[in-house]
Parts: sequence; structure tokens; C-alpha cells
Amino acid sequence: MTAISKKVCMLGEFAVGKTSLVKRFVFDRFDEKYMSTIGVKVSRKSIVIPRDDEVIDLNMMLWDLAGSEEFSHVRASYLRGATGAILVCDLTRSSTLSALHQYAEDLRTVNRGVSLVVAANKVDLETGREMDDDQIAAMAERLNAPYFLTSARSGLAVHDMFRTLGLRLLEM
Amino acid sequence: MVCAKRKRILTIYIRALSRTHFGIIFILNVEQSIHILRLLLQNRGISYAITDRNFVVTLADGAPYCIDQSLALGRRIDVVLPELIGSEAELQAILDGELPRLQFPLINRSRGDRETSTFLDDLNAQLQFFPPAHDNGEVEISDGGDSYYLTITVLPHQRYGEITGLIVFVEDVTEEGLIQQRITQHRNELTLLRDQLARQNVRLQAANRELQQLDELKSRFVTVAAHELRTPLTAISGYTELLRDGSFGLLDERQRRPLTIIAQSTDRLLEIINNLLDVSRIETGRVQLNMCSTPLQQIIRRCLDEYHLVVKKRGQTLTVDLPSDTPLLLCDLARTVQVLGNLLGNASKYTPEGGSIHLSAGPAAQAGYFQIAVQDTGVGIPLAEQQRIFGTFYRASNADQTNAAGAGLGLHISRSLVELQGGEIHFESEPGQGSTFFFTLPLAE
Repeated sequence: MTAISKKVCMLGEFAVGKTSLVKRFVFDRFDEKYMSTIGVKVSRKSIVIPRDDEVIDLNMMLWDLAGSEEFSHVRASYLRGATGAILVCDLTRSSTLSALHQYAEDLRTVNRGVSLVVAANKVDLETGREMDDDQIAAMAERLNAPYFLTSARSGLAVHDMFRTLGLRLLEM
Repeated sequence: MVCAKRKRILTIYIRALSRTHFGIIFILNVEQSIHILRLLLQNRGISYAITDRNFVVTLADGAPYCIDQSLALGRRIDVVLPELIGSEAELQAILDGELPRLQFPLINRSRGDRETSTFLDDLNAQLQFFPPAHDNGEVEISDGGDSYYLTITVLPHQRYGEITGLIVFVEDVTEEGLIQQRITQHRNELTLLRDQLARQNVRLQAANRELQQLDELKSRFVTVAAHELRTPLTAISGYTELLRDGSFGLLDERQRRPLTIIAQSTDRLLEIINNLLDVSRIETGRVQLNMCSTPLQQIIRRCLDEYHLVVKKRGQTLTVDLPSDTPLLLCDLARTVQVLGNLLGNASKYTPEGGSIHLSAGPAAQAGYFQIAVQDTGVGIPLAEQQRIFGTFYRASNADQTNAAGAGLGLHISRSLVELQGGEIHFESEPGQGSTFFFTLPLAE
């Protein structure tokens, strides 16, 4: 089995659920309480991906970056060396979708050819949805990224999303 | 050889401390200085590691929870500090002299990472710095619970002008991190709340617009319906009068009685329709007032002409108390008569036969205003309902005691008309004892 490590950044506006998605993926856990991330939290999760005639142990180093504006000046230093990113928006706040383009721009300025996946999170919330699938699809297409409607609370599509990114990272 | 190494350590300490602006150290000798500086570094939560050009740690010291010397020596720096995984290109650029430094500020870790024994066991077993939190080997380097914060800085390590490896400083910035976390948390929560309120406001505005449109639609419907009803009613009323007057032949008493009932009912219907039209006009702001100087006596006289017979029919006593020097009021005569007539009509309706009604007037408490009052000895208004009597279609629950007819629009119209003329209306009532209604109007000059 070949082991490969890749750095993956979680990007998006504050309170969209970046930390919760990482927590769900790494620990299969969800906390209702919102805790703002400052700076960066790094977690690791290994997934096994079969490729051709070998099995890859992909060690994903997940960089959960602060979404708050005051950390934008240090964000570039965190983005260095990332080969993939999950761009997260909150389905109940339309502004978080439009902000994704800037995050992708910032990332691509530092690392060209980075693989992206869009996560439209909080799909479990039945009321207050502020964007439809077409808008998300349009943004994902603009960013040349697949998109997933995720729920960190229920776990819906969380593993599929990270696995999809893992596959894309190995194709690079 | 040993001395050279210690001097090297001392140099590193001084570099580390100068970064933290710690101050001036009085060096007594190399041994003492190293000891003092080590204590200072540990006290300040700073550690460092030096690597060779293969990124393997050759020297480490300082606060052990930042970099543990015993675990780090001989291992690659990105094994000791997994946060450096993915930054191989940057580390190489530092070695090549192309990048002056690499810094990761405010790296958030969990306190458990440095305190649990499994953490150390795991490192030994897997050459990984952080412990597996789960059986399946997943690791959360920080969990956000009992957090501490580190800043990692990577610099070139030079000897005799050549870059021989990296020097990595790890500094505990927990105090700053926790303060910043609290500030950010509060700000983010406030921003979320503000956004939520803004969205709620937009939704309320939309709902309000919809309600306004519905209200306008209702008012238009009432206006059209009332007009359409009034036209045939005028004909019914006119022909009923002609029949009663004998214009189509003389009638005996047996024929005249049902016609009288028809005429009374028609008048009642007409009053309701007129009230509906008034409410509609008030709600849509289409009430036209002819404000002019009007003698109080003129208002009183016109009302009494209309209502003294009504009062008399019910065996009630109507007394009037006016000041000798009656003033001029700035009002619309017809609308003011309508208000006063409505109050007198209510007083009569809600007062049992044989009761009394008293009409009085005098200067209001507010300068420049005059007050008119209608007092009765009727059933009064139940306390629980007193807040609602000026609402539309509101009728007191004790209205049935007096067989009082009405659609519950009169007081609503009265208040609107008084307020449109610049006055105020209020009442005092004692259930079972009677009520007094007061309204004010501005004095003309």
C-alpha cells in the first residue's frame, strides 16, 4: 500500500460549518454549539483509495481555516502547499455562496492547479434556504468543481464529498 | 566541541528571545546563561528545533509541550510538526535561500494532545506526533475544546555564512489566541444575529406589503359594495316615504305600520352603509374635512334637534350645561355633529329607559383646546373590554342588556374624525354606573 499525504484547506465564510464538516468526517461527531475558529486547526484523516493495481493510503491533512475577515491577511500563509480545498457555503445565507469565488481566487493565486469541491452545507435545515440548486451548480461550474449538498449535522454526503476530493487529488 | 555546541545554543536562545522582546540578559558565563535562558524559554512557552538539510531534527530544546526534545531528535521536522506537511516546497526554498521565512500563526491545538500518554505511545509506535483519538487511526490535532495556540516560524539556520538546515521556533500564543477567539466569537455571533434580523425584517416587510394590498382590496370592495347598496336603498326609502305620505292613495293604520317598519329598517341600513363608507374613507385617507371657525352652540343645537326626540322616546332625561361664553371651534361642522351625535346616540342606546344623559362643555386641560363631554347613567363598559372599544366592529358584551343595535363602527369613526381634526377622545366608565365620553377640538384663535 502506498501512503500519500495531501494538504486540504477548508475555506468559506464564518459559521458555514467548516469545522463541523471536518469533525463529522474525522470523528463522525457533531456539536450543536457554534465555536468560532481563529487561526487554523489541523486534523488528519486517512482514507484508502484503490487505484489501478495498487491501494493508496491517502493521508488528508485538513486545514480548517478561520472564516472571519480579520484572518484574511494571514490566510495566504496557511494556503501554501495545499493541493485541494473544500469551499463551504451555508444554504441559509446567500452571501456565503457568492463569497466562494474570492476564496478560490486567493487559493489559486498561491497554488495553481489546486482541486476544489463545493459543499453547500446545512441542507438539513428545512426553512430559511436562500439559494437553489441551480445557483450552487452555477457557482460550482464557474469554479470548475463538483458540488455536494451536505449536512454536518446528519452526515449527509460528507464522506462522499471528501472521498471525491481525495480521488481528484490522486488524479493530479 | 562541547563548548562550541553550547555557544551555538546560546546564540539560538538569544535569537529566540530577541523575537519576543524579552529584554537584556546579563551573561555571567556560558553555563549559567544557557541555564537561565532555558528557564526563560520554558517559562515563555517557546521551543526550537534545528534540522539538517534533510529536515531531520538534530537539536531541540525549550518548552517540551511545544517540541519535546526526547521525541523530536532524529525525526523529520514534518513528523514532529505535522502542520508542516504540504509545505515541503517552501521548506526547500528556505534551504535554498529563496524564501526568508515561513510562518503559521495561531495554530489551534487541543490540550489533550500534549497531556495524554497515548499521545506519546502513539508517537513511538507510529512516528506520528499526535495521538489517535479513535480506533480507526483518525487524528484531530486540535478539537477546539481545551485549546491552546502556537505560532510556528521556520527560518534558515546558517553556520559560517552557509545554510546548513532549518531552525524552527514554536511559540505558545495561547493567551492572545484565547482573547482573540472570544472577541471573534462575540463578533461572529453578533453578525449572525444582525443578518438574521435583517432577513426577518425583509420577510416582515414583504408580509406587510401583502397585508396592505389585501387591506386596500378590502377597502375598495367595501366602497364599491356600499355604493351599490346605497343606490337601490335610496329608491326604497323614497318610495316608502311617498307611500306613507299617501302619494299613491290614502292608507289606513294597518297598512301604515309595516311601512313605518320598512322606513325604520331602511334608515338603519343606510346608517350602516354610510358608516362602512366612512371607515373605508378613513382607512384609505380619503376623508375630506371642511375646517372652519364654528360656534359651539351651532354644533350642540344641530345635535339636539336630532337626538332630543330619540332620548324622549326612551323616557330619558337630557340635560345640557354650556358656558355662557361659548367659543368658536376650528372644526368640520358636519363631522363634529356626526361625532357628538354618535356619542349621544350611544349614551341613549346603552342607558335604560328612565335614565339620564348629561351634555357639558368647557375648556380642555390642554391650552388652546375645548372639551365636550357626554355622560350617561347606562350599563357602563366592562373593564376587560375598555381597551378595545375604539376598534372596528367592536360591540360591548353587555350590549344585549339594552337591545342596542349597531355594527360597532361608531366609536372607531368618532375617534378617527376627532383625531383628524386635531383633537383627542377618551372615556371614563364604571360598569353598572355609566360612562362619560370626552373629546377635544382646537379653539379657533
